[in-house]
Amino acid sequence: MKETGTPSTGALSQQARSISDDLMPRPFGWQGKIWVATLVFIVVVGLFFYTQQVREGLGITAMRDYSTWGIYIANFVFFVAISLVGSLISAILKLSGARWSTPLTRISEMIAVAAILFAALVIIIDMGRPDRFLNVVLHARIQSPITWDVLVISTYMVISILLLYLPMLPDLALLRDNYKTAPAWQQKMYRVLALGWNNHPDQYRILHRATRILAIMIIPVAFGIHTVTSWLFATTLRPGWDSTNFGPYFVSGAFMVGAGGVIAAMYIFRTHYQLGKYLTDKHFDYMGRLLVLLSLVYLYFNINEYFVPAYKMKAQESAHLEELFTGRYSLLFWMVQLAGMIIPIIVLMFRKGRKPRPMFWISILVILGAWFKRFLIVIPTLSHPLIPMNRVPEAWQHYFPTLREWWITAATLAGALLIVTILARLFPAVPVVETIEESTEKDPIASGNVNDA
Amino acid sequence: MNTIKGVYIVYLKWVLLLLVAGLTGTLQAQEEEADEPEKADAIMELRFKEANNTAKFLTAIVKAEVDEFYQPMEGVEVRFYRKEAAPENLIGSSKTNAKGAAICDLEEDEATFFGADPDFVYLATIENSDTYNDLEEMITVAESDFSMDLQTEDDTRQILISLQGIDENGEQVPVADAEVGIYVTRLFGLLRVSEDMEFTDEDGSLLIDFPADIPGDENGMVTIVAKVDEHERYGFLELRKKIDWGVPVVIDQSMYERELWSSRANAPWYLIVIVNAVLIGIWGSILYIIYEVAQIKKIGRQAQKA
Repeated sequence: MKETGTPSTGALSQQARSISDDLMPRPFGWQGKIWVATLVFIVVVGLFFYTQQVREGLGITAMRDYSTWGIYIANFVFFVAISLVGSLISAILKLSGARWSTPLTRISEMIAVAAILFAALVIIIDMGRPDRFLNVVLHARIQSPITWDVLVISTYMVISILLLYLPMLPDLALLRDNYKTAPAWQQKMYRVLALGWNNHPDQYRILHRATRILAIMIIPVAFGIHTVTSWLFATTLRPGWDSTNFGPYFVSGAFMVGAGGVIAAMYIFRTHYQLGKYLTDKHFDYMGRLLVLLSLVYLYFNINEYFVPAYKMKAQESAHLEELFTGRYSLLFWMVQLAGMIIPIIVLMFRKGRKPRPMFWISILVILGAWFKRFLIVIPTLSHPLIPMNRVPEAWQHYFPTLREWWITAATLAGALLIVTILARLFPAVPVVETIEESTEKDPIASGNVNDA
Repeated sequence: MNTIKGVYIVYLKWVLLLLVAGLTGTLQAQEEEADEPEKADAIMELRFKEANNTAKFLTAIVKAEVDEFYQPMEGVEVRFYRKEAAPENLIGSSKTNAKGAAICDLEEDEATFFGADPDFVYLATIENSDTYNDLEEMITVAESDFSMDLQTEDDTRQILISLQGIDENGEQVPVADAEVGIYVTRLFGLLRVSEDMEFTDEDGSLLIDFPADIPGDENGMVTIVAKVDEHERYGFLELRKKIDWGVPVVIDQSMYERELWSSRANAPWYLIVIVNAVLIGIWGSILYIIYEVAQIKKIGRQAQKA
């Protein structure tokens, strides 16, 4: 972002006008309408079942004395993980000077905000008495990782919203001044949200400083949020969770699925909003390389996580590991390892694999693998308590979610996608002003010199 | 013809009148039946209890059948009498608690109410209850003298129990073959000290060794309880004595210190400082940024005016 030479809030040059027209939010086409209707339907059905859960209690789920955590918590960990993409693209890449990531920042922040909102929501869904949620705050034990998690999630949520909103101020001013075909309420919204932005150098100076502080601040908070989430498990003595490796293991997995999420979103925005000029093959290529790197790091932590306990095969760990490697969860376990990690690494090592379409399908594999990976982290461990429980019906020793649990979980996933969809409908998914500014400079992507950029 | 018609109308009127009267009567009878729901049968157990030879009281436990099981009934009024259920003999009344027990305190010297008669007769009744049929339960008990001496002989701690009672002839006699339980109080109940059943001998006495390894409080104090349960003539008797025969326990204070595993009020200072410092640092920065955002708006407004 520059303080001078930026597109004015009034008249735009021809080139700027062309970019602006390309990137302006557009009404939904028929595909968009079907997409939104499908998401709304899933959310409504999920809400219906959630009202049943509030009325009848967690008994409508398959969670019992053994599996006191189910897919709600697995889903929560997944949401927290994918929300880390905001810090990866908006902070880590941005601060390291990788300017090629500029068109991806808005998409990643939208995903981050939607994911972290639903991560917080899923925790409330998992509570048998959501009306007592405030007690978590009012009677918090500062020694408890649950308290740290509540603190760090709310902090990360606020920073993510600010990091989505603040860099969007010039775009909001542009929309306020040029998007006259928008409905009156939408124009009023742009006017309010633009905060009187008029490209004043002092405004740019403040914005630049604020976004830089946020970008620096979000990195430790992002590491904190997923490390603390991993500690919810690692601070217990249960087989499969009792690990000193869990913090970096979770963080590396989060960055990996976050990158996968951005790639999938990039492809959808590129194809449905015809943004091929802005989300180019080169962007996919760089994101593919980044995903390979992140997957390799995650693979390294996976080897540590499973190989070391498997080498020792302590009595309590062995039942858990055998269940994963050769037992009840083995098919899912090996599918997750292969399809969600090994195949992406192999495919993305080749230039052809880093083209948009294969990248999209690979990213879907990564996302699905990541979701089921969280399932494998949370659920099998609970089947092996260190102190066996007495007088528990046999059925309670195995967990498979009920249909209503699946619907409620699907509704949270649909809800997060709906938020991203609505945000992209109201605001430019690719930063307009920054793209216009960069178009007047030497294009780092076109020149292929990413380091220079 | 008119006469026949007139008779027919009168006949119809009578039939209608009878029908209405019959219907009204039936309905009224049904209403009366509905007004008087059937009462349930309850069962009652009456106990005489005496603690430390002074506090005497009666306990009536009321149960009724619910779902094929007898359950304690709460809120049932029970009246207690001496000798027979007459108003002048009424001791008092009380309602049953959640355990189905209604309790009635007795005088320390009950003999004054019974004169020379060595048998004390008590009754408990349920009368005029809306829910239960009338019920009466009676017990006959006699006065007793239950004592416990704690002594040490050759480093062995011993409990000497003595049980004397008034027999049918009004004579004080030793009570033989009475089962006596010796306990110590624990946090949630009583712990039996002797494993086997213990009975008084022909002198009404019983000598029991007290184990040397029973944990006491910080000073080694234990409360020893001697109980006679459900004696057919003397009822429930109980004695309690406190003595320093326990092994002093060293209470683990770590739960009350500022440690990670303590309650929220005892969080370690270093954790409080670190967490709050991090929160103040981050949220201070967030508030600063929000302030800066307000400045952006202010600058925009000033520029617009200019």
